[in-house]
Amino acid sequence: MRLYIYYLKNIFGVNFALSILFAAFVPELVSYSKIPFFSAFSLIFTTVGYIVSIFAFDYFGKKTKYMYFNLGISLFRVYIYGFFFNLLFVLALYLVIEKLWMM
Amino acid sequence: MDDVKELYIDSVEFSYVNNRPILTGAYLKCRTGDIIGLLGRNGCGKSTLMRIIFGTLKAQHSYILLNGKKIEKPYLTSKIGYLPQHSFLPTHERVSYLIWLLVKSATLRQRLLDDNRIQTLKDKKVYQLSGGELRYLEICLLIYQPTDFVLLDEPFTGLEPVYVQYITDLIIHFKDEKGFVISDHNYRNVLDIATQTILLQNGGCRQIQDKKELEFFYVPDGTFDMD
Repeated sequence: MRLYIYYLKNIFGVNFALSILFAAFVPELVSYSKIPFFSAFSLIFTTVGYIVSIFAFDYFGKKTKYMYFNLGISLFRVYIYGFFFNLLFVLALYLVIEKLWMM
Repeated sequence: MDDVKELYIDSVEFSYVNNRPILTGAYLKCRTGDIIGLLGRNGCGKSTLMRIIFGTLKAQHSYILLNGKKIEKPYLTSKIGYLPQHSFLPTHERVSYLIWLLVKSATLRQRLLDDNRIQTLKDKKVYQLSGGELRYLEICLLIYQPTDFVLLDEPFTGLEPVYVQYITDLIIHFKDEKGFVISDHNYRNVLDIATQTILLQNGGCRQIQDKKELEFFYVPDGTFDMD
């Protein structure tokens, strides 16, 4: 579990920054939320932003992947875990924003 | 000794795309208590064989049994550790943090932290370590896992003699608990601790019985005359 958290810690900042940046260019494309920017952000955060972050992790972490392998963890499992964490994060963020919007 | 674990690899065939075959039926059997010295010339496939055994490289054909059970990706069982030729630790992290991160068992972690050499390193960051210190740390992190087998790809390369000795001592200390497969070009260091010597040659594994045989197939004549 520690290594999964370590992975998330490494990838979260990159994904977050990329998603904010990308969302700033496409705020009106999706609007299931009352805040179009958040809609774009959450969609990008769980898809394109995450995929780009994985590529960055794969490129810069070529050598460190053996840390995961030596603990019996495949990269596929790590990526899937990250994907579901991102979904949960976006959902939590949505609930917080909705609550703030109502106030 | 009814708790002996066994790693069995047979019929390993591998070639890179559009290239000559590297491995053509390689065979290896390692049990806990064994230290197998895997020798061979540059490019003969030692690292390739290790990566196939570990499961991070897919061979065209391979048959791997771990404790009698056929497995496709041995590393997913957490029973095999692998030290690649390059360092696998993130350079910006502190040694104590990496020990906490990678050694799950509190007992094993404490045993590792009690190691005299690790005590002097634990507050340093990885990029501050010398080549020998880094290699020693990496091997410790692998050995202090609940694995049955450890594959070490060139553990002694580029190290000063004192660290070669530390690593040798460490391997011998854990010999009864684990099986080791060690590949290195410093064949003397390997031969000093190996219980079996395997020469990887022409895509296959040849069991070497004595130094004379090794002279015949691998090292120049007269290499061991002074021993």
